[in-house]
Amino acid sequence: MLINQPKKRYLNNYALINYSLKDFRAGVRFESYLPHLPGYPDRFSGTGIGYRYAGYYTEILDFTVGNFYEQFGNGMLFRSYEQRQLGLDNAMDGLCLKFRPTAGVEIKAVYGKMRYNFDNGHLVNSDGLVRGFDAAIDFGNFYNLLADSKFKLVIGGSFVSKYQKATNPAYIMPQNVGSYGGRIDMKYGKFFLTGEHVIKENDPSFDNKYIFNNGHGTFVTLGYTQKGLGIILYAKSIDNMSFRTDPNASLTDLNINFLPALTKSHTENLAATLYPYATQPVGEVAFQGDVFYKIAKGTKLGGPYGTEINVNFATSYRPVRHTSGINPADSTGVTYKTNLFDKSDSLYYRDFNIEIKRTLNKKWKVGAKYFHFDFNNDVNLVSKESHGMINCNIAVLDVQYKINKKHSIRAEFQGLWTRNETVNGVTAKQDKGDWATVLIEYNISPKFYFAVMDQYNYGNPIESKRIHYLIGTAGYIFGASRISVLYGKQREGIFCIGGVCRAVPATNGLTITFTTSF
Amino acid sequence: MRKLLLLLTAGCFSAHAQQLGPNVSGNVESTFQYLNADTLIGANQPAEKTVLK
Repeated sequence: MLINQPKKRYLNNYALINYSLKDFRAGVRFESYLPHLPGYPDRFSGTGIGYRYAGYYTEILDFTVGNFYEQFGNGMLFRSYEQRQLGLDNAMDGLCLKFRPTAGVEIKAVYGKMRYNFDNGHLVNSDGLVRGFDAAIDFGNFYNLLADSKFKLVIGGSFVSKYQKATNPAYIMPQNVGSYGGRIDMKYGKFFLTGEHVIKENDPSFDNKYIFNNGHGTFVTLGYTQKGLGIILYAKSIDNMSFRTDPNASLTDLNINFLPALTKSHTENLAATLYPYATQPVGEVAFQGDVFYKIAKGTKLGGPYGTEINVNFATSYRPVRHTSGINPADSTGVTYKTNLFDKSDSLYYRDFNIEIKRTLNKKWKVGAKYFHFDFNNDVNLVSKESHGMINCNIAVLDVQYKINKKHSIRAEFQGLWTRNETVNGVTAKQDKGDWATVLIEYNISPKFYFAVMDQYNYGNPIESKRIHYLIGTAGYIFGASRISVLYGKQREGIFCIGGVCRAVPATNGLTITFTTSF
Repeated sequence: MRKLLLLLTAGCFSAHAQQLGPNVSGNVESTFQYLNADTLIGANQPAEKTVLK
């Protein structure tokens, strides 16, 4: 007799084995999805080889055939990488060459298809082909031109194109799409300045609603560092820079490039999981400032061990799209014009945060953090229960106590408060209202750790949704291996790393993870 | 002295042989989940057909 019952067991396995002999290297990665963990791409299934390569590596020449990961510059034109926690893997399958004819010069060439699927144990690549070329000169090493100078300079340039027989009954789709760009990296004493500008030729796609505009991206970083002080300013302007091997792909599939997010990666539970920001490849103008300062030890403010302060501000806006004099219905398919760093007043995201950390004595360490987020949920959908801007404040207190040489305990107390909003005469907290999280960790160095965390939505406007998400974790570390056991509830939401996100379904149950390296 | 030189030479060749010899490295990661349906938080597990004797 057949019955329907909930599917309860999930298993993801990865085993990478590398072999090297003199200058020769080869490797394989076995993968299993039996079935895949919830939240992973539904296409992943079965057991098989998901990554294999062979190559020859010398000081002058690297040569890889098969799968490889590679990046040009910041990745705005080309980045092939794996982010397993997101279920993202766009490994190239083809040929990668790196040629270093003289010190300070590196030339890279890539040719191949991108990983798209792992179907019943078989690796499935994109139909589209990716071809790329990158060259960089480091003048510090190139004939020692700047070897004795305080000024350091690296310049580079890339060209990437894709080819796919794309058919669309409504449009004449380009089969080849080219992109190109240049970058510069300068240092003088304690200052540094890096910049990259890229252009992508017209590339109608699902992401840009099949317009024929060119895309562009600019990323600039300016910094100053010295002992106890670091100041870094970032600026980014991108428009229409979604670049995939298949124009009809979406989500995290078949991305040729990577657009860095201009926000700080938060690690605190509420700040990291409730309103995480995702890069907007269709277009955004973003800025970030980051200041680190350590008040010297032995001073009144610094205390006996010094006090660390970090202030961070990040913001992102919709770019202005000029439509004057443009007929979006004409044969060019160009629907607007944009200029670099031409931002509108339409706010996508704003994050101000400050962190103060201090070691009080040999036993106690404390840290306090404050965050303010203005989050546009219409652009970056994380909550189905809210529309428009969500404004919230978060406070975190982190206390650590070292019991003895081996035993220590850490506690984190967090609160998140959303703004009151009046809709149709009814005043209520925005989105899911207020949250609190308590985390307690106990470490027995170097082998064991235990933790309990409760994320509680105590201020949800709907009483029945005031839920405790309680999770317990234990871990054992032996040599290069670790086994961890987690039991509890996980909230439905969006999980992001570096501005790339995936939806995480709600779960309740047991997770056992084993990792080792050899 | 001769013995010392022999030992040093043998040591050098041994180190050289190790560097040129085959090397295997890698990593393993395994994640198992056993999940329950929880209607309170919307954790729905898809139904699957199971043979019941």
